[in-house]
Amino acid sequence: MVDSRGALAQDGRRVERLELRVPTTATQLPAVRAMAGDLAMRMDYDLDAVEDLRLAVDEACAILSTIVLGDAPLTVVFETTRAGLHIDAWVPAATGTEVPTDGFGWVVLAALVDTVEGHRSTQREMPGGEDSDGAVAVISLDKYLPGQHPFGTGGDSGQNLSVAR
Amino acid sequence: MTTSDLPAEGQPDVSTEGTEAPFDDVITLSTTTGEDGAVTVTVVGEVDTFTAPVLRSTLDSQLEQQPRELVIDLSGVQFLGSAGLAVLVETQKSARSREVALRLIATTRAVTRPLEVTGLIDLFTIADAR
Repeated sequence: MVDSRGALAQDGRRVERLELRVPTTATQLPAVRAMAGDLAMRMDYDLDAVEDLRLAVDEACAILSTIVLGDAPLTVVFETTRAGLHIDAWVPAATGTEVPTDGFGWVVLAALVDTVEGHRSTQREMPGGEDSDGAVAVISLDKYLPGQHPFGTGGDSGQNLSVAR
Repeated sequence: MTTSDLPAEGQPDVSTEGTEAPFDDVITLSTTTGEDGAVTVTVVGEVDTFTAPVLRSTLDSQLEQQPRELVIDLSGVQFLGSAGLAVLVETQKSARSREVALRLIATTRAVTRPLEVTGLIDLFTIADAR
């Protein structure tokens, strides 16, 4: 499997990985965001950041639910390091489908985390993917623990980025 | 938090219909009218892309009655995602055009945090108690 982990996970420190695979249904997405909140709570995130992660994971899942192929499952991979949390969420999607980044949900998502990116990939390249060329759509995001931002901006990503119009 | 003391008043619950898993309802809505004519919609549970439309239709039907004031009590809300934020913004617009006063009751971080991060909190009159 190709290592598709983000920069946060490639700092040479021990990575712990947790993988969830769920149908994109009304009862399962609450479980995914609950897991995100629980993981964040047990790391050194403050309460606002815990809330941010719960929200961010939900936004990512909701966006991917709109482009998932049929009733294929959603896979969410949480990687924890001493620097923070890297999350890849992905779904099988029709070939060529881009992650939609023009909605309100994406604006909110971008305000909640340090980095977020939507991209296309294949099953083979994804953690937990099949050994196939099946097209997938991925949202990758990073949220650093306080003081762990690699560029030292230390900025709380949630700093009231106004989306009010 | 218990929902047993909240009159359901025939409001739809978004629940697990069609699945066998014994999950609790994700959202419960109830509506009360005060002596002063103010209508309070109490929301308990989680507002996400699946449950936001239910909240939207309840708030819309209350606004159509043109009450003096509409209060949305979110103190029992444990999750408010972008779909829920969008419902609140739409409701605010609609209330303005109907000249209905709108007030939110927000006491939990699960509600205040998303409103703060998006800057939307400035659009609303927020109370932290009934």
